[in-house]
Order: sequence, then C-alpha cells, then structure tokens
Amino acid sequence: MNFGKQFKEGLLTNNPVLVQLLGLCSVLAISTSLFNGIGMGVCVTLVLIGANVVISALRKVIPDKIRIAAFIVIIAGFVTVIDLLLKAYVPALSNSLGVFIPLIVVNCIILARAESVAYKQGIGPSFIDGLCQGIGYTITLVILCIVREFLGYGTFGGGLIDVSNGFRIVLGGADGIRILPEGVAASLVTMPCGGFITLGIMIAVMNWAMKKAADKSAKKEETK
Amino acid sequence: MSGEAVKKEKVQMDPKYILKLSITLLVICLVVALALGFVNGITADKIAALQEQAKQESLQAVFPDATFNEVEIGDEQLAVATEYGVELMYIYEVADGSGYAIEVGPSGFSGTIDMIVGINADGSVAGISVISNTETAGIGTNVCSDKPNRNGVGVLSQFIGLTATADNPFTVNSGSNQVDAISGATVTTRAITTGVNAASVIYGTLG
Repeated sequence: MNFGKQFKEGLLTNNPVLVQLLGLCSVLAISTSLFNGIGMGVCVTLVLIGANVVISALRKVIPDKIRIAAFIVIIAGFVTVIDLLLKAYVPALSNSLGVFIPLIVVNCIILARAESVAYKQGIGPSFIDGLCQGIGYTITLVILCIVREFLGYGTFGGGLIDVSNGFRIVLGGADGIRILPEGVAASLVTMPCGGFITLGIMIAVMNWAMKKAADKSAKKEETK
Repeated sequence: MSGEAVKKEKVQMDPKYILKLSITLLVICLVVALALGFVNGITADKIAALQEQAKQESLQAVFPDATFNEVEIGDEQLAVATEYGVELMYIYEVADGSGYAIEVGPSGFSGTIDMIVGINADGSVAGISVISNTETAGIGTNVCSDKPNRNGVGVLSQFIGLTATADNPFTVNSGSNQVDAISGATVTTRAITTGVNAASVIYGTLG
C-alpha cells in the first residue's frame, strides 16, 4: 500500500467529511471553536486507528454474520476508554464536546473504514488508513472551526489560546484572540444552519478546486 | 437452484455454527469489558473528585465560605418540583442556618440546565450558579455564565436580593416581579426564572 496515495485520499479525493459526507452530525454540532475541532479530530483519529488495527487483527476470527456487532463492540470500547480518559484528565474538553464524544460510537466514518478497509486488509495498511482518514477528518474539521469561529464570534483559537495574561496555550476556558470587535460577528454562523451553509460552501470550493486541477492535467495530456 | 437455497439454510441453522458465533461475540465482549473495567478503575476516583469539586465550587459561588449539610428531599418538595416542571436534584442547608442551596434542573432551550439556587433565610435569592448546561453557545450560554447585558447586569445577578413566592413569582420582561432577558436568549432566561421560582417555593416548604 502506498502511503502517499492513501494520504491524498484521506485529505482530498476521498475525504471522509467533504467527499464521503460521513459523520456530519458531530462535525456540524461542534465545529464552533478551534479547541473543539482539534479535540474532536484527535479523538476520532485515535478511535479510527485503534478500531482499524484491532478489527484488522481479528478479521480472520470474526465470522462474517456477526461482524457488524463485533465492530460496534470494539469501536464502543475504544470510545468509552477515550470518554473516561477525557473526563478524568481533560474535563474542559469533555464538557465542551458533551454527548458528541460517546456518539463517536455511531460515527459512520469509523464503521465505514472497518467494513471497507480493516476487515479486508492487513494491520499495516489498516493502521495507515485510519491515520490518513483521521488526519483528513481533523484538518477539515479545524478549517470549518476556524471559519465558523471567525465569522460567528470574531475570534481565533477559542478555548485554546488565552491572551488575557500574555500568550498562553490552555486546555479550555479561554476566549481566544479577538479579531473582529465585539458585537460585529454574525451569530447565525454558529447556529446549526450556519454550519450547513459553511460546510456546503467548503464542499463547493473543494469540488471547484479539484475540477480545476483535473482540467489542467487533462489539458496537459492533450497538448502532449 | 431451490435445492441449493435449502442446503444453505441448513448450514445457517447448524447448532455448532450458532455456538461459534455466540462464543466469538462473547469473547470479544469479555475482552472489551475487561479493558473498560481496567480504564474505569484508573479514572473513576479522578472523575468523582472532579465532579465533587465542580459542585463545591458552585455551592461556594452561592454561599461563599459556607459548609453545607444535605437535606433529604420529601414528597412535598418533589410535588412543587413537578408542578413547576423542573428536576429536583439536591437540597443543602447552610450549616450556620443562613439559608438553603437548592439544586434544580429546569428545561432550557436544549436539555436540562443544572443550577444551584441559594435562598437566604428571609426567602430572598442569595445567588445563582449554573453547574452545567447545553444551551446554544454564544447565546444561551451567556445567560448561564452571567454575562452582563447592555445595562451591565447579568441575568443571574439581577435575581440577587429579590424574593419570589408562589403568588408573586419572577416573570420575564413583564409583571410586578420582573426580570430582564438577554435579547435572543428569552427561552434560556425563562428556564432560569422557572428554576428560581421553583427553588423559592421549595424553600417555603422547608419549614
């Protein structure tokens, strides 16, 4: 398996959010601050890698008929571990993401990768697939968070960057760097409908950019 | 064709195969459960301590430097809570008798708002502290964090010192016992008001 190709797939051509359109519920619900975005992205990536590796290792043991049940038990196990660890060591993130951490269990990105990749391939490729899909998910989520936070609150790095007393990186509770004056921002963007609109625009921009790149390479072929 | 289908059906019903399925799933569940038990063992104390700390901080925000004794919730208090449509979690008596801290959970814009209402011995509101909420970020949460409105007063602060009774409850944006909502967050403000009203009436039943 080619790492570069898989990385490109996870990030662009088969991006879990922008192309596969999977796991949108949590993406739309929590993408309102940089802290949320990075936190959720890391959690989903860890679960993806863990579930992919374990399911791949057990793929010859798990009978076909009960594979979905087995996948869900394994995924739920990883999610619960992360949920407990967050509650104990990063309570601010746990409060901020709330129910969307336990809901990773039913995030279809993870089940889709388990079914289409981990159940069919070896541990190595499954690990890389989980990593690449996770990174693709995280980067998309972080971009969405930055855009929505900027337009909706007029800040950057909410929850993560504390500038009230010099520049500090904290875990939760910070207001972020204020870019727009208070009261100027459009709260609509932080609402669910604003999430849909922002995500829609993001998908459109990406399709436009990919089509442009495809046209360019097609033209190159022609002139040859 | 149909013979093949019947044969396949027979394979599915094979008790050995069913046993294999069950045992595989059982083993997977067992291993996962063991792993979770292990992680839970590491984190349980830490999580409980953090929750207790958050509750103590909320109690201290209402009655600074006080010690609290939990009071058992009776049917009368539960009846009031049901009447107002709020959850009643805990009632604490301030040890020196200066009042009660009542933890109630009115329904907000999305989900329950877990809040502590402090009531002075004379029945007036000593303070309000929201433990947890799932209100809309940037709108409802501004109410719960007591962010000042354009008059410089937070929604929670404006209750302090005022008294509500069953006949003269706090009402939002109107009435004789008026409190003001932050524009856009009327629903959250109403929920908080319901919680304070319920706590005030519950206080009245506490002898």
